[in-house]
Amino acid sequence: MSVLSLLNLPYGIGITIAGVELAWGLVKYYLAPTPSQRREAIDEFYSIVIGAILTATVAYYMSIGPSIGASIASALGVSITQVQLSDIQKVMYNDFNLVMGQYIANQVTTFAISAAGAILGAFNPGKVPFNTFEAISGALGSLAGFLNAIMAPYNRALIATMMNTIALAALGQVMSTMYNYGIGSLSIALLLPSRTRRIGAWLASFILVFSILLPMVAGYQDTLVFNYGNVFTMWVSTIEKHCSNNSIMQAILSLFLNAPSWLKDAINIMADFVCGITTLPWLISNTATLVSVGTFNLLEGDIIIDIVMGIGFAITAWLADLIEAGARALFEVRHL
Amino acid sequence: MNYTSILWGAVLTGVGIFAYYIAYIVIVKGRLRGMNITRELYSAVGAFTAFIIMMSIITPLLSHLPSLVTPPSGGWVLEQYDTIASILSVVKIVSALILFPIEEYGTYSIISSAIDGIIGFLSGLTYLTVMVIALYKALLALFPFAPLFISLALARPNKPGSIVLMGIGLMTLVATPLIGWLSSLFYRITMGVVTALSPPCLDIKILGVVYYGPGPALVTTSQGVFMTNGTRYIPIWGCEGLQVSQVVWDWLVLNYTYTRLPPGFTIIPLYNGTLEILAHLPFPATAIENSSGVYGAWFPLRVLKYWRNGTGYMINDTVFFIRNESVLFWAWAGGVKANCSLAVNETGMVKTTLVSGPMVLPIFAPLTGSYPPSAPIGYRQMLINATAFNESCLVVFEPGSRWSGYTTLPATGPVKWALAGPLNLITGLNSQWSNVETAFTTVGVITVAVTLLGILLLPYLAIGTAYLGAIIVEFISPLWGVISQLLPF
Repeated sequence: MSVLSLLNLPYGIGITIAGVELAWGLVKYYLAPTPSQRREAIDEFYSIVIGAILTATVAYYMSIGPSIGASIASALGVSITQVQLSDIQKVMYNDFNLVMGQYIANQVTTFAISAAGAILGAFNPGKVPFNTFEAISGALGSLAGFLNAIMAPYNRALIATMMNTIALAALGQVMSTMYNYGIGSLSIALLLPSRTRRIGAWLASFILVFSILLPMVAGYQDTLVFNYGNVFTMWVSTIEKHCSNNSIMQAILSLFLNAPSWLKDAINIMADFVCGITTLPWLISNTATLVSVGTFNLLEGDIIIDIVMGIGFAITAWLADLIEAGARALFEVRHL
Repeated sequence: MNYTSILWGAVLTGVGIFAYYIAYIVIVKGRLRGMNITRELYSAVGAFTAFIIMMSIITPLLSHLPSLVTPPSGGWVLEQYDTIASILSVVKIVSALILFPIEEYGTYSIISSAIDGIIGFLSGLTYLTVMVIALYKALLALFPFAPLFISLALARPNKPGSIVLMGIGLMTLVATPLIGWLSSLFYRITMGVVTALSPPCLDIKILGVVYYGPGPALVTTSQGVFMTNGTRYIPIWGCEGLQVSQVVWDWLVLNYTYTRLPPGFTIIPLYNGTLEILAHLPFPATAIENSSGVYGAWFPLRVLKYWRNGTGYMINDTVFFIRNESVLFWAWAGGVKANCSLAVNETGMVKTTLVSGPMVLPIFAPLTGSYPPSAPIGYRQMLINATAFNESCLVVFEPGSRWSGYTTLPATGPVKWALAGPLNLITGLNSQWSNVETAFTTVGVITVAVTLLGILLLPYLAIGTAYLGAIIVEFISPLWGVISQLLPF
């Protein structure tokens, strides 16, 4: 890596500003008419050196933030995925898609079952003692209600998770952009001049805290989504597996072998649920266990993330003040 | 759980932070840079002292707060909700299977709304409980770090970030036991409601009923009561047997036999076979009946005397003709008239009974259909001796009150359970009423306390810690002067 490449992002801005300040110190030193003014310039030079060390430290720190976060989480007994700053937005977007996919699949399945019931109900075979179409129509309509009722808490948990993934993705995007544009090193450079110290302190604090916290929380969110974000699919698969040996269901499905794939899939899911309903005790106990565990863990994780992010912002504000005071002590040039 | 030791472990971390902070002020700022550190040192020492005092006060206070209970299982609450919601939803499916073919859409709509209401209420309560439990679990994880947040806040007490951290630290210390207690309360409330709502089992079936006998009959079974006039379908619990305990027609208790026939085909496993009921009076009575219902019954039991050319025959459902005969009638009617000699005696030959429809809330009564009045009105059970010697006689049986009924949705097994749902909900909530009151009072008190703390206390924190620090430093400085004189280095 050539020295000039340091001027590229993400370090470039900070190094440029530090360089300008250094140059200003040199100019002051050479043009200083008195020893005290030269002393000021040397002070400024020392400040720049300390600032440069800190800049490098922050840049390094930002790059290892995710692994620090993963280590902290591991020390707290939570195993999480290690997500790089630049990947947070992408990972959260994928998680959002997965969770949204589950939510939509759930809604579409409910709608499809309800619609199928309505269509079947429209068949009128005339006055018959037992109108099979009407009976199946009513049963399918109620089956849609069954799905709604069972999945209601899980859907709420999915919505809470979606909100979290959006917030984390946005923060990830901000952090990633800050990293790419060298805001980390800029924040240290901004600590040197007294006029920009406050914003520099806030930026430095934000970066210090969220370089660790954000990958940690995003990793935790990703782990949650990986483990509990696809309960609906798992539930359907379990029913499908359970019903795979049901010869009558297979016979009915074989009638639709040449149907378009979307229709075949829809009929497959409906047939699975109907088959599930017919083995009721199995369906209910299986559903209750699977859905409840996923829902609770997802909700608990969402609350933990919300609390941790709140604490993160409080610590950012707290640390910003400390950094500002520290920077004032380190970089304030004493006018003799 | 004993969290005091964990708490004091975190207090030591706070002490470490203050030690570093005060050392930094004294060594770096005071000695190396020669700055005036008096005010900052006062603040830091004051904050440190305030921290120690605060933790010393809070720790014994914690023993007066509710102990940190083991978090109730939120998964279990959701599991119970899912089980009850599933069963209620299956009741909807079974109701649809029964009601749609007979085009009772309105009835289905009402039971569907009622079930949705129960599920909605239970869902809300469950979600609230689960959220409080999840919050408690999250706070429990945060609890050991509370002193750390307090120490961070006190280290620089007059900054907005510190106020937030102080709030988080204090609220974690105080609110965790309270939220834990609250989560137990909500858990007990929800489980109370869930227990009151619990179904006997998870297995719902549809049973076909074929009835042979005078109708419409009111059939009382171990899983509920319904009316039938021939064939119908009733929902039952698959795990419970079904015994017929009484068959009543026109308030008359019928003799009966019944048989459970297994399903002839298994294509619809919800179908649980057929219940065949054969019922009859002790004798083949004639019903006093028209298109609007049944009004009684009668039967010529025996010809007591028979003269020459004697004859007797039924003219219609209410009139019997005799000539040169003495006939003994049994009648269940409003009265009897004849243009010949009649001897009427009250009898209890056939047992009669009071009847009642399914026990459901009045708002659900129209769902289940229409049932006869509980007691017969204007009926007498009579043994009548009509004698017509050398004359023609018309014996006319007068109608009693109307017996009729029609079951729209049989309130048996799971439907009976679902229709009792709102009442069970109230019973469940009633059994937990003191917990409900306490839970909501606690939520109110916590809200008020947090608001007051935020408005009143925090702005004075900075001033307070600075004064405290000044007193301590001013006290320690001369003391340190004395001690330093005694030290050899």
